[in-house]
Amino acid sequence: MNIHPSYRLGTIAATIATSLLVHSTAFAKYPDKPITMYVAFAAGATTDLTARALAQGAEKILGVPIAVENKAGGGATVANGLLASKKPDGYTVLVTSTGSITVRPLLMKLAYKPQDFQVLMQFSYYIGGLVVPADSPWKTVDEFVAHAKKNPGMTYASSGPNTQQQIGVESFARCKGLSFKHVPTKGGSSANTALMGKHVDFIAGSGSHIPLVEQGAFRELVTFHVDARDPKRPDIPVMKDIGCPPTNPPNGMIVVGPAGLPNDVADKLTATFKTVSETPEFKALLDKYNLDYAYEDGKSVQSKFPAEIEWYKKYFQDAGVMK
Amino acid sequence: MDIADNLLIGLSVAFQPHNLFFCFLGVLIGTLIGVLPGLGPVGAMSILLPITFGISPVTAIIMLSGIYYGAQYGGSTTSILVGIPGEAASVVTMLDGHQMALKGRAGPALGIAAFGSFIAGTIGIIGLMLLAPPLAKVALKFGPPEYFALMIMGLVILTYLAQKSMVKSLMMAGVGLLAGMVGMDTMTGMPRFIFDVPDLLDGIGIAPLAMGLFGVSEILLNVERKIKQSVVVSKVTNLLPSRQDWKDSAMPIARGSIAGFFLGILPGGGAVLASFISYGVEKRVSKTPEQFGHGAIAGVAGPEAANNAAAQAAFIPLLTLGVPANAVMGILLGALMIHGISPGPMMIEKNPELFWGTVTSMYVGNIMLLVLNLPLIGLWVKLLRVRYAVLFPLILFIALIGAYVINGSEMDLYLMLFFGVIGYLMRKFDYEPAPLILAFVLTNILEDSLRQSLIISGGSMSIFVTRPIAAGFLFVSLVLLITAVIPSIRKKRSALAATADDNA
Repeated sequence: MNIHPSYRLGTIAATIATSLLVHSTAFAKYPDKPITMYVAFAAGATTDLTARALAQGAEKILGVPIAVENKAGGGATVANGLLASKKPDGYTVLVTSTGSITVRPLLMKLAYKPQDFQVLMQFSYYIGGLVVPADSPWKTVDEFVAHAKKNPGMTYASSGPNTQQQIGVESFARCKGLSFKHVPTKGGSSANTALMGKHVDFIAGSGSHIPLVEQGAFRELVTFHVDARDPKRPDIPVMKDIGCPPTNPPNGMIVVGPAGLPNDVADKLTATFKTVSETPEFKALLDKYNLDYAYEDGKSVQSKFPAEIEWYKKYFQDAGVMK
Repeated sequence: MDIADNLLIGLSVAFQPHNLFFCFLGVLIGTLIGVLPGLGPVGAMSILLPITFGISPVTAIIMLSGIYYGAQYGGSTTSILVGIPGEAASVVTMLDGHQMALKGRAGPALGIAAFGSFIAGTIGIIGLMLLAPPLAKVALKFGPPEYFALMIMGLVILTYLAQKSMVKSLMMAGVGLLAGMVGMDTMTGMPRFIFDVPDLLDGIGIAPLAMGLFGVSEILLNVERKIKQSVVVSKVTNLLPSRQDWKDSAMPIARGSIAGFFLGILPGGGAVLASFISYGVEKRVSKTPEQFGHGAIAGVAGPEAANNAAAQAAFIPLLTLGVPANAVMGILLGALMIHGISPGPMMIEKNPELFWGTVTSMYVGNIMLLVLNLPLIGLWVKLLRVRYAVLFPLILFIALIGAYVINGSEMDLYLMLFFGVIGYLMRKFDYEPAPLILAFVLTNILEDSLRQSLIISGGSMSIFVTRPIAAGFLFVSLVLLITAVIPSIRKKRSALAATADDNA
């Protein structure tokens, strides 16, 4: 550049001063380096793809790259333990499930406690239900209950013991005074297969049953976990409609950071992910997986944890699983 | 709509230029993934899944499927060449395939693996095409009691794997059963044998186990021995299977394809079980069973055919019912949903071009794989000429990377190395690793299906004999067991009779 000599010194001084200013505000500005987002589920799984969509959207807003790393294992417990050990500086976040934080520590010794996390936001949840084959004689939940009363010991498959949806079935059973035989399988697909082959009478649907209901292979009799009927399927009642207390809360998909994040960092992350989750593309992605868009602010989710943990404690003590 | 019309639909889809391109890309990536030990098709498909967002669903499925069955082809290459099973389904190929390579017959081994896989894949696709919906219904009839009976049959076949001491093999099977129990129990959700290590909640991975027990131990053993690098014998003419090889392999390929196809349909069954059963069957019907374990080509041809047929058959439950048969199919399920296709019993009716396009592109893919793999045989064999001092550390290095990449977990690395040392000790003392692996693979399904069956039946064991399919498998198992034991009873009786005569 051609600067008149007498201005040169001034220009240099001004440049140095400005860059110092910018540099010092960069220290205070978050984020200024890449963020790592762990995903507690396998690559290609439903939650993984939604997490990646969140990461891609958030990158554009925050202006730094967000590296997504899968750390699947133990039903999200491995990743939870990993995050609990990280510094709360806002550069490490995790996409995981509420169940793995509130429920699992009650059942086994893990590398974390619920207090180790700070929930930033929730973007969806898995809703379970009671699902029977489409050609079974029970068209409504009342017919089913009547049959179950006369024939105790009906068998049902689920994706595992003490999962949200299995607890849902047991809560339903307690409410209606029924007794069932639980046949655990490895994962939701195995349960679906068992029902298709009629090896069990019904299943505790975990979300993967929804396409099969839509295609006419299954019928959902009642939906657990939520208080309002699904607008897309208004003929399926919820627990409130059949006179039962609400079951356990659904397994929410949440973004968390280690406990102790600075307020402005937590707020910025929450706002960013909220914005991304509100975009039509993200909602369309959820829709493809038959997931409801269920945004909830992190503080609100976390404030419900103590009550949730108490609920599960009581449930497990009654069931004899916990002392 | 009859088959010819459907085939035409399929062909018109499969031969579109972009579908051909993505098919090729898929099988190429699949082969590379298969060759690298550890990282399996699941990992590659998950990473590549987002790339498929911009393309049509058929193209996406064609590419992802190509990765899957391509990996089966590639997995046998490392098994045969360096004795490290690329994934669980290649363990059996390695048993005799690697022995053949050590004897300078790597070319024919690779060749018969490639051809056998091609023939089996083709048979599998034909089966898929003609029999998919009725077979799916049969697959649904397999509930917990049937799976239990099938696993029992698998355990009996395990006894055929034993080469040396039967007692030692059974001991190893016991260890395998125990190793399979590590992790979270399906039935109670409680952890077993994990010693408070959360990484073990999902159990010991089959890939680190196989890679350690066979691959790492092999390297450790070789470090001890003085080996002459005699693999240099390969002239170009020795690269392909000989006439005799073909004669010996024809029936194993046929049997393996059929066994693999039917076992692959069962959700949770699959390629691993099929390859072990094929090996056991071939050893049983062979006129030269003592050659198995020392380079019998039937021991390569049968299992290879079985695992490829099983790979094709695994598509059936997904495409006809919407239930995934294994983890790979689970990813395809996700891919279908992302593209707005709802998997389920109505899927073929609603999306015929998806089903038929995928099926016909599998033919194309299998041909591409054959064309890809055959010329590479010469290249692979040359690779064996690299000095062992360089080759072994390189293989170990690749195995370490492969083991870590599966899950991004250091635990897999430690497990592989741990089992490598265990495998080394085992082989020094003549304990065979193959029964351990088979028992390990069977144990989860065996235990879960037993307990599930008993819950369903209310505790009564009669459920296993009142259900026809289960009873059938149990009967076959009994027959197999007895026919295995009779020769040794006869031998003992004649030995006793001989001593009695001597003493008389």
